[in-house]
Amino acid sequence: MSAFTLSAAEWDVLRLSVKVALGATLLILPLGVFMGYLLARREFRGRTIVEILITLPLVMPPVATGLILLLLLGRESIVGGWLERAFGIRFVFNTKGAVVAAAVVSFPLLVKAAQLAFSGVDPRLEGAARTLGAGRGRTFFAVSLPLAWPGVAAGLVLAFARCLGEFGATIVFAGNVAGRTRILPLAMYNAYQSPDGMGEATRLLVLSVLIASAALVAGTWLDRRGKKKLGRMDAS
Amino acid sequence: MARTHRAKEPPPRRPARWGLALVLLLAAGCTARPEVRVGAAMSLYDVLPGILSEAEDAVEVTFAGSSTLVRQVAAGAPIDVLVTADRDSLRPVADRFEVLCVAATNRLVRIEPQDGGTAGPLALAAPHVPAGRYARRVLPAAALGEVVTFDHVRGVLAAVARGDASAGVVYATDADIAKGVDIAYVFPKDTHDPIVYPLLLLRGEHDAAAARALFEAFLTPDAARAFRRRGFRVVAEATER
Repeated sequence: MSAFTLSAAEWDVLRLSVKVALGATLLILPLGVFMGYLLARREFRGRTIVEILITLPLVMPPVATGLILLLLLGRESIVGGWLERAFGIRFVFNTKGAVVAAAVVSFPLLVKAAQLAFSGVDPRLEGAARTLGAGRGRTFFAVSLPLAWPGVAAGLVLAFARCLGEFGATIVFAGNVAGRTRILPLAMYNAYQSPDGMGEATRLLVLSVLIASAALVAGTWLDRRGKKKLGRMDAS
Repeated sequence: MARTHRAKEPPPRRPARWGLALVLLLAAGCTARPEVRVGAAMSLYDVLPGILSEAEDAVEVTFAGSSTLVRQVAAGAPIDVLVTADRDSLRPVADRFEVLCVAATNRLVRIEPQDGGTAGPLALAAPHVPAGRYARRVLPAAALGEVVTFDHVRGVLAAVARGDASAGVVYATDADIAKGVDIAYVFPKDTHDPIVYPLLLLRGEHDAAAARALFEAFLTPDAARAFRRRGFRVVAEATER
């Protein structure tokens, strides 16, 4: 095989990685945006605790996050055991587990970005919408979210990139299963450990650089588009 | 004014004292460093304390999958005595040892969780780890199905004991000591190459006498007893170089 041609197994790794990262990003999108808005706009009891809980996976070793997930959602845990008996849902050694692990570690990135973005929205604009008769929901979707979108989008891109880099929580919680949980970093690690795997490791390395760069380009583009839109809104 | 001026001057002598303290600390660190280092396959985790009990303070042991150990030695890790779980993984260090001696042998078994089978995947050591290589030789590729891989055989054991994997292939000695797993099948000897543990005295910048003494500690009757107590079979065939 030539140095730059991906094998079928490497294509599978790429497909799975993008699938897991996209799945996790979509999974955290609604709650992440909501929590960002809540933390930017509302004071409530237990706010500090909520903020700490959300931020923990960002500062904890990912392996610790994986271990917590295993204790909470593993087959022998209360929640995990119930989910398996009642719905047949299994996370350990399963793609669902890889998605959950990626979602948990990338969640703080989205919330932090969304919180910052919503803090930057002028509350008077939201107030004006309310006085003009728009309900809370309509104000959020017609005023707050569009204005905060560039920051939220940047948070989504960051979260997506973090999902693609996931290793620690995934290998502990979801394991190393070809085609199910072996995403790019795990495949790279496997290849590097094999006596003749340096070629494969290098190809996967090039892949992850390309994907990360594409995500950053997409993020910049979203950001610019959002700012342009805001500029037009200011002008009108 | 005069006080602030004086405060700005670097305090004399103190750096020298700190330097002395640092040198003393480093010296203390040097004397406390272990004299000999052992790298051992993960499946020997429970055997080594029995063998090294006398010299334990002067010996530093690293446990890992054999392939990881060999890669580390090939990259220059300061290991004096190496025990791996097969001969195949020794290729990268083929020119780095003085003596090779097969210390013990093992068997391969299929294990299942004690509380009954589950729907999980089959747990195996990765193909580059000896236990994973042996397992893939005894299991037809078609029968593998979904496989979760681990860097060493103890990871396989833990996954099956937790019930997250439906079954796994490990060494008989691992299965014997593990809680929560049952041995479902012992693979006949003729289905795979003999599982041997080569013991290597490596060339290096080590204290040669101490390293050889440690190497020989593995070949004493006491060591043989320690191996047997944990279910290994003991053989002794040395290859001097």
